[in-house]
Amino acid sequence: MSFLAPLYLLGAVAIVAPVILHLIRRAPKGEVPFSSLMYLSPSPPQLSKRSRFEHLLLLAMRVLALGLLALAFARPFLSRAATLGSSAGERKRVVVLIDTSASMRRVGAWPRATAIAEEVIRALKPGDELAMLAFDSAVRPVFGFAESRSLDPARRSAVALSRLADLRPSWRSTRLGQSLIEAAAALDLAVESGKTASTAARGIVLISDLQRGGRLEALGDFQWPADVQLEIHAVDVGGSNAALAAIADSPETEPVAKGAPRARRVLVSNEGGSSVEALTLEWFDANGSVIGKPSEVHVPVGESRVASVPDPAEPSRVQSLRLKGDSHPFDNILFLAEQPRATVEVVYVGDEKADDPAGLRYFLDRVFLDTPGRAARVVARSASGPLAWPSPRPPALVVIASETPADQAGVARKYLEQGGLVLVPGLGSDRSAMLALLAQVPAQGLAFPSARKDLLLGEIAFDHPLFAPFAAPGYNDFTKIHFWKSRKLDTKALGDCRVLARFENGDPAVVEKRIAAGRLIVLASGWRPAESQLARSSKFVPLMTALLDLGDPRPQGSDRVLVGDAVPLPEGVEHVITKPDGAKVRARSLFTETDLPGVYTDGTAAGARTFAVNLDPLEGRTAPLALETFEQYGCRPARGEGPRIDQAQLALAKDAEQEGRQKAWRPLVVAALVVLIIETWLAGRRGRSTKAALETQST
Amino acid sequence: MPPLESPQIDPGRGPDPPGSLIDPRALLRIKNLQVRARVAVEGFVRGLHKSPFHGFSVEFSEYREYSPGDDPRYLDWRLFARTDRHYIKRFEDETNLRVYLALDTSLSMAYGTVGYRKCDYARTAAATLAYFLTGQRDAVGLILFDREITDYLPPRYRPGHLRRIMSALAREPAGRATDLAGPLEQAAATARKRGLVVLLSDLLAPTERLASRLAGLRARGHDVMVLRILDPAEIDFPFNVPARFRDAETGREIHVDPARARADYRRRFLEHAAEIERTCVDLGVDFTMVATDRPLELVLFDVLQARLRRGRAAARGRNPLAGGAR
Repeated sequence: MSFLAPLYLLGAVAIVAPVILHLIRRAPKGEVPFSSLMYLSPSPPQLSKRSRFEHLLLLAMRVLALGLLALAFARPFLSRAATLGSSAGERKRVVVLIDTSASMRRVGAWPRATAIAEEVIRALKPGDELAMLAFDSAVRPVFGFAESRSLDPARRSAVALSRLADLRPSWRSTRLGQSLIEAAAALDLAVESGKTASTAARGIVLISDLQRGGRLEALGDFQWPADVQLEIHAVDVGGSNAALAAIADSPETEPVAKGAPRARRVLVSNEGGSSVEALTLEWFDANGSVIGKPSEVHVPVGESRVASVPDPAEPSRVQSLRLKGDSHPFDNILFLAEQPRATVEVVYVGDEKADDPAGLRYFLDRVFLDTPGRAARVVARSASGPLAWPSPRPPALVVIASETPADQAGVARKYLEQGGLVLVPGLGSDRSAMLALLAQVPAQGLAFPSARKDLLLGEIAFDHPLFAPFAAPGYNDFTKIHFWKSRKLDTKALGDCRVLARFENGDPAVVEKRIAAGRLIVLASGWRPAESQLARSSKFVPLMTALLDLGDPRPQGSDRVLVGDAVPLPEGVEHVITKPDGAKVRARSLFTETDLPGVYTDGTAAGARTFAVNLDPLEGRTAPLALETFEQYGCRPARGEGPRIDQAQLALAKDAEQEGRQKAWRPLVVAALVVLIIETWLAGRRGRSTKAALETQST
Repeated sequence: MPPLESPQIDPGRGPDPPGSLIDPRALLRIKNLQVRARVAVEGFVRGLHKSPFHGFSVEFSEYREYSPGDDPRYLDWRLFARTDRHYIKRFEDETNLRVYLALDTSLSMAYGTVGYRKCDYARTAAATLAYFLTGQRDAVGLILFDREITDYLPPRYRPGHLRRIMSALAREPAGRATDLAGPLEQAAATARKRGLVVLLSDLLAPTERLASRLAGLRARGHDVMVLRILDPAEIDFPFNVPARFRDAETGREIHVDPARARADYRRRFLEHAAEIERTCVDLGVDFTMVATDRPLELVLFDVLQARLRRGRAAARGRNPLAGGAR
């Protein structure tokens, strides 16, 4: 039997108290009126001369309760240390988890972090095992346990130190919680793969600036292993830090005042611990020259303010907005890539009149709303005339509303092959020949029979970009849209295609067929009021906008691309991305190497456009977390200073762990409570009888 | 007329209870004080059939021929010498005996453990005495006191006086602390005519000045009789549970463990009682300690005994020759 807190056993000395109190005759409780006290003298409670304990049972219970409590507080446990090898306690397996996020770019942070890591590595004993992980938004192994085991101690340190020297902080954000989980998992994996060191103490040495924006939440769902100790080395660099973050995609759409220049709203936050409050915002161009006048902004320490910065005289030259006045510049630049409003064309092929509210075109003309980044123009082309694009750039969407001659279908086919998007909505009289040409399938079987039946959409592929905007529970109700006229599409006749939506009877309603880089989308019904309620439903505008996005993909919210984000690119063409440092990267549909903040240039055959990649705004939240936060998340931070784990501390930790498993204090406390309850009952009963005796003698 | 017999009473303790005595508990359940007194007296009178307590006055009344069994001490030898016949002297009851009943009404008298309080017992005793003595044509006066005299009725023998005494006694006493010296001094100053002063008190007060005040009364020619009324619990201190004891008069509280305090209490009590008794004996004052569980009739015996002694002393005072007739 050992005790985790043996000093609490001193509490057992309190047993003396009830013994003495029992030796003292009880102070009189009741009051007895008496005629005169002239023959009486006070007799205060005193030690009973007769060495006889009054109420022996009560005394025994009180002593027992105190003893049990003292024992429980001393946290007894059955020590099983003897079963472990004497050298087992000396071994340890350590994961050094080093922060390489952008906030470590603060002045002086990285040298300190590496110095601490070096000290930890050098302090390891020959029998210890080491792994080193670097983390920012992801965890990267730098040095593994397997490698540690394979190298002799001296060489192991040298290799680990050289790997450490190669490390540099990145521009990515911090995911501290997830990184700690992965470090703990790395320890578990090492236990599974390692054979000899299963009894070694396990620990994680975290070297980080512990910034507030470190995303520790992931630990909330994680059960921290009881035997893994977290040793935290906070890299504190001090100094004032203020951060700049974007709020809106684009400048204010309206001038703030008449005649005033347009303004851009940004969020300026001033971290706790900062000593400055007056900050300056300046516009910079691509060459690093200041444009226009600087703007002053005053942000109290620990707070954030939205600042409205007037655009400079030449807004097209602007490449970045920079914050000045604090000590750490890493989070002070907001890169901007103003996208000129692109005009995309939607070609309508058909002969309906523009003002015929019963037709498709009437609604098509009106469905596309201009957004700050894009204006859509619907251009009508006669079904019988030659099909020519209104501008050199191919249209974003071609809607073929009626049967077309073969040459027109050929143009459309070519457009499809180049990555175009063709929509064949509803029902013309018969468009099987055109459809056959477009879909490159035999015309037989494409004369879909028409059906006159009130149908609803029953099954929708919300994973497809066309229906993805409706995936949320509040928006996925299509039951208000009735389809009265439709064609029974035969997917076999269309060849290899995907059904994006089906009617309630199982017939396909929306079918997509990929043709080379392009998409052919066929609707079983149209949006003419005679055919369905689609055009008059709330789903029509988002559905058509999603369709247009499908034909004209562009980086979403170019200002909001953060370091590490993947940027989707228009498919079908080769993109050459020029990074801010001048490196060129080829990409087809997704660009992932956004590892630097800055303005990237996306060059395609059709031309170049730019997009800005910025630092994660959370990286600017550099005020340190309290160590207690880790405890709240269930981690077991070691409080000890210095990288060495003291042997006494280690033994204490092992004892605490054993005691924590056995929890012998619980039954002891319960037993003490039970004894106290019985004691209270007994004492109450005796008290009542004493009271009765007093009442008798006072009458 | 019953024959004169010598009294068979132990002067210190009073006579043995004659016949059937009334349980004071039952007696004190009677609410009306006068009825209570009458019951006590009637019970006492019934017990007197064999009692010699008749006609012990100092005034000579007549002669009676001696018959065997009479006390030869009362033979008038001179008459025998003259007439050669045996005559017994008969005395007439003295009608002008003044009795002052001095009753303590202090708060300590409100204590009682036998079902009634000491003051109830003392009031009943006083009422019984007044009733009996009035019946004997004695003048009865009443002095109620605590720290000083609160009520005074001079001794009278007239119709209606007994009723006044009864109503004065029936008033619930609202007394304070006991101080014997002051009231006794006042009583001495007030009761100018000689008489018998019956002091009914628990005497739970220091005795320093008691002696001088009693001596003052004696010096004025009063016969003094002290009836010390005590609750049995005050005599025996039968408590056993430790408690806070509160003084009825001062309100002072002390913690007392009876098991340890009993011996000390008894010792002090007895010392105090002995001192009072010694004082009384020195001054020729009759002293009787009466526990409240004692039948009330016996108190009458005590008083009559005192009257008897006073009668003798008075007779001695007037007739230096013992048994001298007028």
